[in-house]
Amino acid sequence: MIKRNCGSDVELEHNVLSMDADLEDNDTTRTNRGLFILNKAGAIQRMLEQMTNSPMMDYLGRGLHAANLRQGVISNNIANVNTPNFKKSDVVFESLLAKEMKLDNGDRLQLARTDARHLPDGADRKATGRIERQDTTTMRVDNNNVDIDVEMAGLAKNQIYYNSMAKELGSYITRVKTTITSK
Amino acid sequence: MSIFGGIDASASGMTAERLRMDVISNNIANANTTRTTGGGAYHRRYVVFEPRDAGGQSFSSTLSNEMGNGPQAGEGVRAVGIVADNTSGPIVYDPGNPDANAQGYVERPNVNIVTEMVDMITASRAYEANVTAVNAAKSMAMKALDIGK
Repeated sequence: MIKRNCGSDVELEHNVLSMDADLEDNDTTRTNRGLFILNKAGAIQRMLEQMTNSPMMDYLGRGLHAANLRQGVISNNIANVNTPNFKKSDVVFESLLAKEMKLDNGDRLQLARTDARHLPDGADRKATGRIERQDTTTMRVDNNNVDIDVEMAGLAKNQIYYNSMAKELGSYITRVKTTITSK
Repeated sequence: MSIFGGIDASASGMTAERLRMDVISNNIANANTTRTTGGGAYHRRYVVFEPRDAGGQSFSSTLSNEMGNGPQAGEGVRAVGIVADNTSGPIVYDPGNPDANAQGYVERPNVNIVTEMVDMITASRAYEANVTAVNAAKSMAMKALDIGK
């Protein structure tokens, strides 16, 4: 008898010889065969999750989402370039991502907790794009602070950024597909 | 905020700038009109714009602020109204004019051609900027469609 742990909670013991076709068809063998197949399905699911939830797809997906958000915000800024008292908005994402990946050299203060069961401050949350309104500047006498040149430049940069994320994601998927189908 | 939201915002900007162009054209066409149906000379008109999320007073923006989602991307611009500028125009002495009053003075429209031309250039450049934004959004969406190919 072989005890085999396929990485799940079910510890399965089956007789290796009993996987042959000329097996007597009683309840025990049917149950064992069913459990074995379920375990294999779980292993395949974990393998697929490993391929599709890779950190690369996570970062690329979040970058794409932030670029999408930024496109909408820039369009709104440009549409309101002549509106009095309008304040432009920005999307912050890259600085948050750098902080999450600990790539900036900023000082990092951890929240002091008196008990390990207290909730953390969420500083380790995943960075997503966030819209911020810039209320403090003024470009013109009608209190509008949209600088059209900066917005157009941001539009072009964002388009390049988005296209490169999409292309990278596409090539990653193509690589995985090549690996799977070996073609 | 989806790609389509950005395109809607740019489209609203284009509509608003086009309306502004129409009002400016009307002002320029009436730059010498000394008689109107309401009496008096023509007074120039201008368009009042307002951001479409109404400065955070709409239901959706209040809800998203309360739920801690932060400010949402706005939805473009809206023309609130076309307002007449009622400052009096220059009053010139022209007794031969059929619209002159008893003393021989006639009020001319308060349209300043230079101001109107500058506004026209501003409106047309803003329109072009909105068109560029629409093209950028569209090309991004088309590029996203190629991801799996």
